[in-house]
Amino acid sequence: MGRHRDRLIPALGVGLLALVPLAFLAVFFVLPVGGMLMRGFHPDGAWDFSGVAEVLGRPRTARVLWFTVSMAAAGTALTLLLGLPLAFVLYRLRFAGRAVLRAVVVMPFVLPTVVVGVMFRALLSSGGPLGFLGWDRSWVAILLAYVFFNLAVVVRTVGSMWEGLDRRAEDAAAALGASPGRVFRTVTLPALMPSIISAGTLVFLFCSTAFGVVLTLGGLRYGTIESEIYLLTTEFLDLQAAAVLSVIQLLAVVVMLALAARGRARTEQSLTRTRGVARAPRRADGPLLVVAGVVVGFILLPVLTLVWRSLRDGGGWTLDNYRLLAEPGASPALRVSIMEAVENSLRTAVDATVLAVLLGLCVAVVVSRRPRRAAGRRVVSALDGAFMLPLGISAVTVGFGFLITLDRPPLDLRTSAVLVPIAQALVALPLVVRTIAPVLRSVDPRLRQAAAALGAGPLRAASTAEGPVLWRPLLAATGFAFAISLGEFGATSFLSRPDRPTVPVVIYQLISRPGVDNLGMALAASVVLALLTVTVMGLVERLRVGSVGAF
Amino acid sequence: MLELNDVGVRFGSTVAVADVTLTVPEGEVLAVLGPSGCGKSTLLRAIAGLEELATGTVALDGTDLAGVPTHRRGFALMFQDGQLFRHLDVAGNIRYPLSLRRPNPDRRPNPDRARRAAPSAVTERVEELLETVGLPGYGSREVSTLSGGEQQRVALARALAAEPRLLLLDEPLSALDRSLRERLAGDLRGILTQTGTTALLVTHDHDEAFTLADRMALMFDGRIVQHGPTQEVWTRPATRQVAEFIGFSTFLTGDPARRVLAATEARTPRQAGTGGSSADAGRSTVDGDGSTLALRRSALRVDPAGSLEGTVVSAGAISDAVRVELDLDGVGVVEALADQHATLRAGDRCRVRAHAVGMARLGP
Repeated sequence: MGRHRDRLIPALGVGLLALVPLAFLAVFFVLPVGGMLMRGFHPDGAWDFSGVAEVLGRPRTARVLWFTVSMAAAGTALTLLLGLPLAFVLYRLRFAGRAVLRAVVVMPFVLPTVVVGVMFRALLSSGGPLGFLGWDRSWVAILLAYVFFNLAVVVRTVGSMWEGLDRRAEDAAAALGASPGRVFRTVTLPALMPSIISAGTLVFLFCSTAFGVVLTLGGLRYGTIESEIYLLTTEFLDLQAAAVLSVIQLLAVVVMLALAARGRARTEQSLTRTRGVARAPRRADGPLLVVAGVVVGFILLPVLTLVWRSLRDGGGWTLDNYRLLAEPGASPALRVSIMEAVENSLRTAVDATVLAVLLGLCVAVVVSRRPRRAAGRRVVSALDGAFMLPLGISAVTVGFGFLITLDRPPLDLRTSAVLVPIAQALVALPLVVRTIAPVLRSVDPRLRQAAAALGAGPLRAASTAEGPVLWRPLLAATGFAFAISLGEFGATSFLSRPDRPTVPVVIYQLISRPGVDNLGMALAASVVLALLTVTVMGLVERLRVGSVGAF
Repeated sequence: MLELNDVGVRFGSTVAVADVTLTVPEGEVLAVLGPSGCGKSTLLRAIAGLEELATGTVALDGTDLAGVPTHRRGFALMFQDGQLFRHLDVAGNIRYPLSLRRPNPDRRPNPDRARRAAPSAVTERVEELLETVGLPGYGSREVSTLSGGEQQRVALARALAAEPRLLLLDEPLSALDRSLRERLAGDLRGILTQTGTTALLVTHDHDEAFTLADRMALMFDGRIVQHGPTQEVWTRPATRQVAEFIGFSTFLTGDPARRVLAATEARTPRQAGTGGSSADAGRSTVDGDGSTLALRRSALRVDPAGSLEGTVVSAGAISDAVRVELDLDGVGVVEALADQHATLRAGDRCRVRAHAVGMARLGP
């Protein structure tokens, strides 16, 4: 009897813990996305798929798909090509200033997409240091922004693998007569392959669902699937086409993640991990050091340009752009001052963060259990997958879905201010789970068993074993969610009300209007937003949780 | 012949290896023995060309190897955990060096190498090597399905496939359990002798060094403190530090030393190859000059016919004997061995016989 109860209560507890986030997912993800898809495929009370072929047959759709895929492929290839030497230099060599360089390389990833867009505008538009190239508003600018944004993914994913790679396998190959190039090809590359596949998939995913960057850099000339969904819903009110594209994107993302998981599993080796294999640079590392230097320069250039241009006015230095941030009527494009938008952003981010971290913690606890029965394990892995779904669906679809489904009782939230933080929490949720769950999974279950054997009840045993390791990832996830929320643009652009915009929305409004003042204010606001997110992520980075942003 | 002259390696301001001068004649095996962290692995890596030398030269057959990258040196490296390539099967691992063409002008032409291009010859060679290391038919096995000992055998086959001018072994057997280690050490010695391979081995295990090597060098804190033929180092350690490291456990001076020497059998079985019993040398000099008598525990055996007497402090069984701690009258606390069936308890009195084998005299 007692034994039975002891088993049942933890199982029930975990089940209840899963219910809350599941309910959240049902109401704020399945319902809106389903609503959006129903509008597309079930417009007048009857299923109608006739539009699918028509939408797919449009030359514009073909163009958008081609642009999305080819740009994402090019972006992924280029990012890997530049990221691998950088990963080697930053994780296999030891030199003064390495920590600073690592931080510099990670920074772009945490910058809001709109800010990245503004940076490249500042760099490439006339008056910018590279304005003479004529790349402003061209696909080259978008490609460069992709690489800029995603280098961190490659460097971190591959670098952390490379860092722990036992160099003795390479030594053995070299001693057997393999030249350095051959050692890399036949020993190092196969060992790194799982991490390269992971990083490559992720970069491809980020590139092909890019929204803020494309909208700010390409305007309406170039479209990815995501920006096209935005256009179709907001400009053309063609919900059917938008629904078709949403489904295509969802399918593509799911297929891609599945392929990547298979690729990883096939190339995965049981590797012996070691510590401290980094060595001092040698003369032979020269070419790689040069490449790494150029890449770091490429990262710093847009950042410094943004700061520089935000402080320039015509020929001189000025703080005017920053002074205008506090003025309510500074631009006809805005109804509020930018400082008010900053306040909105912060308040929204706090709400979104609390929501995302609470839900994420529940999910992480649930998906890190290892039930003894196969059925239980299947349930856990299904839950794990379900909470990754928001990654795959277009944030624009979610945002628009909110507007059309949560607009009537019992859930009339259309005019409520809670929609924005809820949408942002949804976007941050998978990343929160991915930050916390691996740490919980890494706790040896025998630790809990040892505690239980010493007389601790299930809850006590869990908190003894997992409590001490939990606070770091929890803090890291909090910061991460906060940074994501601050920069979120896709869903927020739909949901924020004109009188309560967030900073990314304001920046987009400013740069989509002509005018020197508008651009200047956008630059200054971007600097402020970048500083905020970089500071938050800097704090997160200090917690040294390996799994931040890991997939 | 490998010649190291005044070799030194530094990491920043840390001196990892200093003033190492050693030679390994062709076809011989040299063991560098030392505690972990003494710099022996760094020395090995420096010889392989994986670490830069701060001072000195590494020369093979009279050619200075400075500036010759690792992959052109014609060596092979074997680590304690094999470091097999996980993405290749057993045959793939052994084939790896065979598929590398390495310019090696000073090598005698070798019929095997000339035929390398033919795939059937490669397959044959792989099978031959697998037989050499005692794993015939293992070619298609995945590396991950092999036991630790099998992995080491494959690693050895892979190293031999390169026909190295010098085989470098980094604690080749340390990761294995005891019985396997002893068996594989014998096999390894046989294979090295049979293939005439010149080898340099680093290890912290003196038994491993004793079994595998012709010559031994002891390294502490980056420096070689003693080197010579294995037997000589084994019986005549130069310092107390060396003696402790190679298994001497009791150190006596003055009267206690004299008492033990006096009790040592005049006719003792001598070990082959040594110039004479070290106890002979010790007997004449241990008096007065402050030198030390070092004893392995096998130097003192509990024996009713012995001439020393003492009280048992503690006793415990080891694999093939009983290890006894004794308070020897007029000598002090020493370690000794008793036959496996001996029943000794703390406080028992017993007699002990001293054997010159297992004794050594250390200079002041």
